[in-house]
Amino acid sequence: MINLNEKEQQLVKYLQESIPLVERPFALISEEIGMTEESILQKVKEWLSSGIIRRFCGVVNHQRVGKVVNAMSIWAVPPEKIEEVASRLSARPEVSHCYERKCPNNWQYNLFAMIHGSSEYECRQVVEAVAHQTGINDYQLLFTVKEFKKTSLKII
Amino acid sequence: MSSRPFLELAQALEINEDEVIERVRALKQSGILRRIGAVFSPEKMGMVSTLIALKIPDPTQLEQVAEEINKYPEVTHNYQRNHSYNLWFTLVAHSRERLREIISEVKRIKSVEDLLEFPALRTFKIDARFMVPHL
Repeated sequence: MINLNEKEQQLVKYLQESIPLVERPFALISEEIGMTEESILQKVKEWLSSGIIRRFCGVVNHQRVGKVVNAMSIWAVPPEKIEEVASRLSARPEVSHCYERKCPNNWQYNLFAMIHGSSEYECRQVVEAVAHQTGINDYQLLFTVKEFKKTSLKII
Repeated sequence: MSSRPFLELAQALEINEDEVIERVRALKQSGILRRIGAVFSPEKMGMVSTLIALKIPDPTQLEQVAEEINKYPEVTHNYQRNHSYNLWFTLVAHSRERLREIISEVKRIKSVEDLLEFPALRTFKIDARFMVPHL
């Protein structure tokens, strides 16, 4: 873990939850943790530019906006085609995450892409289109049967 | 970053600040908006993560295994999927040692026949922005 002083740790705790819905949310946080509003904004800007904070944003519940079906698509892609297939997948708005992963023995699927759609049909259409574009036909779609946990990361 | 983020949004939307705050509050209350805040990068914070798949041949045991897995605060996502490896979860921990420790504990759960680990080698896309249809 990177080193954070006590005030920075407090700040992380607030920022990883939700900012207060008031006119000056950071001023309210500053009262709680004893950092000035200005230094909080400065710190957040610093963390944004160094990538410690990836984004500062509203996080939407997929299901509640009609993205009720989610599937993990897994692809067996030869090394020289990984970038092409990954960029085709990443270009699709239905794909939220795309990773190349290290595979155990006897597991040929090395590219993983999470797909969110309004139906299984919509998810299938996405992967069929990418398979057609790239010529990679060895893939599987693992639909979510049940969501047991989905939380945002708690650093502290 | 602004000290008055809702005012900036209000100006962009040409409505007043109070109304923005009110609407955001309503979206949050109804569960459409989970939160407004920072998305931290676990890697940049020095944390380590991985994806794990479990094979649980007896379907009646799956729920109980899932509950045991959920007890770890390091587990951020945990899903049953339609595959012989039927439980998939992500782990984010403060150290590699802690990851190893959790993995070896999970391997010892009786109904777990096999465990596969898929650490990420390259990230191509993260954090989708969805087009939100009219609700």
